Amino acid sequence: MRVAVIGAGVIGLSTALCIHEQYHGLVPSLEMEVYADRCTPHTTSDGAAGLWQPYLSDHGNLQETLWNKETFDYLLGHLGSPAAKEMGLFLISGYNLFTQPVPDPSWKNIVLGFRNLTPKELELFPGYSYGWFNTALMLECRSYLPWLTNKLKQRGVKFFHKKVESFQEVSADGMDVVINCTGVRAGELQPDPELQPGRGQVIKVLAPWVKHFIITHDIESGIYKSPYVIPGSEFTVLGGIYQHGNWNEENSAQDHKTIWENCCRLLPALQKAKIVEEWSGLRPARPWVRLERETLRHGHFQAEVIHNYGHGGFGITSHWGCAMAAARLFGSILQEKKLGSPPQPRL
Amino acid sequence: MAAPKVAVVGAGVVGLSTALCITETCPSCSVTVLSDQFSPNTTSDVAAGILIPHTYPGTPIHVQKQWFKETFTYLFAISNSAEASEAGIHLVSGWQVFKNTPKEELPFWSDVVLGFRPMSEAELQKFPQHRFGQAFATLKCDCPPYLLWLEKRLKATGVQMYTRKVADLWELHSEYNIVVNCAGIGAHQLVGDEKLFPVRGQVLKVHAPWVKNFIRDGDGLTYIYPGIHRVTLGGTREKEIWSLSPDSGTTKDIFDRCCSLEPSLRGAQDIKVKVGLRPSRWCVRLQREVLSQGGVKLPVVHNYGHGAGGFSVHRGTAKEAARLVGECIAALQGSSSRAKL
Repeated sequence: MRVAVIGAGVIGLSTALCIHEQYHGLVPSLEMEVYADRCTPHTTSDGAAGLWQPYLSDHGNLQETLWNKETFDYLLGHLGSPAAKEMGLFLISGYNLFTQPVPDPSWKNIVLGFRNLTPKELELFPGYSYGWFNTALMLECRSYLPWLTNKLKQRGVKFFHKKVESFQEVSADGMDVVINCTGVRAGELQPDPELQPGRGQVIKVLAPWVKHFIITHDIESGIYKSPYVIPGSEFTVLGGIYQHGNWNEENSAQDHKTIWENCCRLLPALQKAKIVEEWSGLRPARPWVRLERETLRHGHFQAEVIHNYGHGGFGITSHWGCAMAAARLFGSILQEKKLGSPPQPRL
Repeated sequence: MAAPKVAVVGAGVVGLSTALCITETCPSCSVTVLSDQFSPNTTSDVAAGILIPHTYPGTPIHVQKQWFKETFTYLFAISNSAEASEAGIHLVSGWQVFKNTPKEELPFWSDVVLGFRPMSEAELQKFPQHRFGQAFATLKCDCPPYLLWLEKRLKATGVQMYTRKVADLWELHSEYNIVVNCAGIGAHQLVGDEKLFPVRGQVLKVHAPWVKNFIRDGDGLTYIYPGIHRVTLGGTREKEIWSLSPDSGTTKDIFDRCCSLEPSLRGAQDIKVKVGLRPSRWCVRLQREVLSQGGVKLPVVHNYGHGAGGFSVHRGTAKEAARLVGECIAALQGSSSRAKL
């Protein structure tokens, strides 16, 4: 059985690994290939700070909350292992800030030690009158993606640095299953009006005295439009930009100013921080994640496609739960092939 | 007295902060700092500088709490300002874990630190050998930055600082009107205080920038405190041991104990070993004394013996010491005006 994974961001690589780990023993000749035009450190995942935190509300998408929980628990289980450092995985605590009281998030019992902020803590953040404190996880993709890549290569998975122009191109090669993890550019393989870029920009600085994430929220404006500060293992990421429908991957001077001024107002000590890098990326935004099967037929060929894209700003947060769900879909394909395949004709 | 000349002996966190408080409460004073060691070679430079108080058996709890509160408030304001990174003051959150539930579940300082609460079951799962824990956020003073920042502020107000080994406080009587003794462990020899004893502490300062939370075992022996550039791993509490030489067996023991609390520390790089002698005492010696020889008097204010809690109470004791200096000045002015009659 041949499987092609398109996309080598956090979704593509984790889905590949999840499927390979679960089915390599069961399917004698499982051959997997990963196709991507962009690899680490140039993927969307690489630009993200790497904080595990879902949006404030799951809008009734209970399934997404379950994927998020599965991911958190999976990562938490890896914390004590020697692999954690190589994976770029570590615990981090921090603050979510609001200008008015808000309901508790769907993930309050997933993270550790979730609580409301005390009045004295709020003194640290003038202008904010309500907030949460909790301990969550960081998963830095510039470490995690190479770690996943190594694990896949060790398992014999082949990597091809090329842009796939169509599903046909890949399935014509005799691929039985195609896993579509193409993120924001999934529309190039199959039009999807629901998928839009959620453009973000970040400034990476040296501010090693910052030990907490600080995410502010402006309920009216929407997610990621309010300043945030996320300390990584090397750099601290400053952000707060979300532009729906903007495909521009160039850094904007106006956005730089917005991020810098807002974050320095939030944490005055940042004024002394040295700017190291600036980056723009396109969150693959969709009303809900597209995680489903599709059978594509052209002529005599038929390919099973598993779509796994549209994770917006919570790709890292949900990746393992989604990979497991994709693996279950893969399992159902295997089932059908076993049941549906006709016996060999006797010659 | 026009411009009282005050000598502060000692340039650790207590000496420098005391000197600063004196310039604040007595702007007309001429303050000089004298010390045989300055940062990065003071005991303070070895300490992690975390604001978690040590309890002094001989000082009333309400006084210790007041000192801690004053120190916390002072540093909280700095951590919130543009100067935070230069001053080396930053907020850090984490856990204090206990193998056995402590007698006192609520320490006296629990309402001074931020967000103090018991750890949840889920949080405790990360520490399988521990049965109880407390989560909170507090402040950390990184040294050398904090000491260098204090030195900078002192110089800006005109305070002079000299490297000088003072063998006897009396040797200062001709140059200074008042002497403030912040000599830390040096007070054992300087003023012959037999009640002052070292508690040797060895620590490791390692590069492990992914460690963002502190972890402290309630027994006070094992702790992990992330600083700006390095994580301090500790430690030891060896009473009456004067050796400043690192012990390699101890290094391995500290490292192993910390790794069992935080396994990812196995990947820590560039391990530096340091040793400091906590200037320990039944209670902090914070009091006036008048030395006299042949009719000549020298008012002294003692401010030493902070043991394991120097950073936690430094500002509070510095303010009290400055207040005592004010009393000394008033007494000197009183006696000089009486002399004029």
